[in-house]
Amino acid sequence: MHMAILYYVICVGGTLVASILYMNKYWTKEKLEKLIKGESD
Amino acid sequence: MDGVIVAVIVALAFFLAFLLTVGYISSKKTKSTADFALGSRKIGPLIVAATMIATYGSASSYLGNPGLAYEYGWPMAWIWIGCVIGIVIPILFLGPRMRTISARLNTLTVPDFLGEIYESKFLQLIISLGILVFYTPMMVAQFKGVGVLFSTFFGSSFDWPIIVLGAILIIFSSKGGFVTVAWTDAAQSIFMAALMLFIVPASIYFVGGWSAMNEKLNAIDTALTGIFDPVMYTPVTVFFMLIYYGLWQIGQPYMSIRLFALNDVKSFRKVVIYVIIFTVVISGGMWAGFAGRILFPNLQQADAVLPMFVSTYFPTYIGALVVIGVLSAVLTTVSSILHSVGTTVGYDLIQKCFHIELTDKQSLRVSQVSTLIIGGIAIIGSLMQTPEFLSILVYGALGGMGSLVVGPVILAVFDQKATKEGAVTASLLGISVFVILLVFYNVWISGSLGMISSIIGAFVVSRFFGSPSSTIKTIHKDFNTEEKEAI
Repeated sequence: MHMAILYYVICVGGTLVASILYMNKYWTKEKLEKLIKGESD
Repeated sequence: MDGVIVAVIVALAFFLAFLLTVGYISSKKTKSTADFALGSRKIGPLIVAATMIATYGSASSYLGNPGLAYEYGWPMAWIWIGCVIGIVIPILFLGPRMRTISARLNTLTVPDFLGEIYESKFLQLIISLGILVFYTPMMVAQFKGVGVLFSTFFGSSFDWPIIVLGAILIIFSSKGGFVTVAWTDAAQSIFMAALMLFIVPASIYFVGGWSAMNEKLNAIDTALTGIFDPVMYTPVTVFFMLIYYGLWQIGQPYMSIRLFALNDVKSFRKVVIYVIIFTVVISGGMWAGFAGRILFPNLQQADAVLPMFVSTYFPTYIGALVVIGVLSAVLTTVSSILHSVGTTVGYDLIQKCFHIELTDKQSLRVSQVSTLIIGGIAIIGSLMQTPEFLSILVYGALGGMGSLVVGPVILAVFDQKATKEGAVTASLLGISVFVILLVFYNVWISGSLGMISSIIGAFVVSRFFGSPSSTIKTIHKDFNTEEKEAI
């Protein structure tokens, strides 16, 4: 495997996809609004 | 060459005019310590992402890393793999919680954040002193970089560029505070990212295509197209390097406050996407190193490969823009560090740790004057012969700061049983492990083990000594309730 594939496809692509999946699961609108509500208390 | 110098002078004049204009406009809006330290938490996601990249990158993105690509070929891309992962992890896992806690406790800096959440002025003092000790030599080194850049590329004096540009830098940083720093960072990042977009296709084109690039690099040395390098990027070193990059940014107060400054928790989603895009684009500079190894096989200084590539194959004015871009990368990194150190001295040390009561206006003045004085000291330091211990401090600054801060930060955000005894032990243990290992190993190994020790130390000691502060109890109780309700 070439390092370019490791970097651009696996690392960057993987980080992007993993980040989106994480954000969709843990940064839902409800959860972030709860956080913001806590902030203003 | 005359044409290049004229182009550089014109570009430099525009750049300085931009710095002073942004500084002047921001100073009009900077009316309180909260404005000075965090831009009153009103910075948008694009600017936050760009300022993170500008602060993260420095001149190493445009000189050092292309130089490593020139020397070691593709295996150096592990650094960029570490950077991509390392910049995303803190935002993803810590960003929203740190931003929320910081706003709830009304904390303006990382020492302030840790001092308030653990209810420990001693911890705040340790972290503040760490910032002063590790970051001030970093500024000295960056200013020296300005002198080297000018004397190398234009044959100018070493001292005068430092004095003139340094004076402008500390004036605009001390007047405008975080807003000035963030906007100039953002302008630099976007500007360099735009230039870097051309580097990848140009590098491939000028060596005769993708296949030709691989064949020619292979002909020079097969290690240049490998995954690992037998000396510099061995599997063991890469393993520690990835841990180092994955953690060190969490421990850098000048990076973390950018998370505090974001205008809205919901904007973190955009910040994550923007930082990944920025990092990938800016990493394009390494391609000039790969191409440079083929096009300029006998380069004396590998770090000069990107400016050399651009000045040889691009129009004169583009070459001038790259030189100014590298210069602005150095200056914006200094301004970020200077802002962090100035705020720490003026706010954390003088007001919080030494309990000096000031009005908000006086507090702002103290932070501004501290920034001016620290900046002045850094300029004077850069004009003097560097003692050896300062070089060691610069080399170990980021790893040292990370080892001091990572454990307390991670536990404050995630562990409801975290105690101030655990946090203080983590800081002292982390920095001790780092310093001892640095004698024997490189900064990646000593830094990663120092940071891991800090996390483990904080976790273990918190289980046996002390009890969580009322602030930690309240915050984690609220977080847990919120999560259960959301589910």
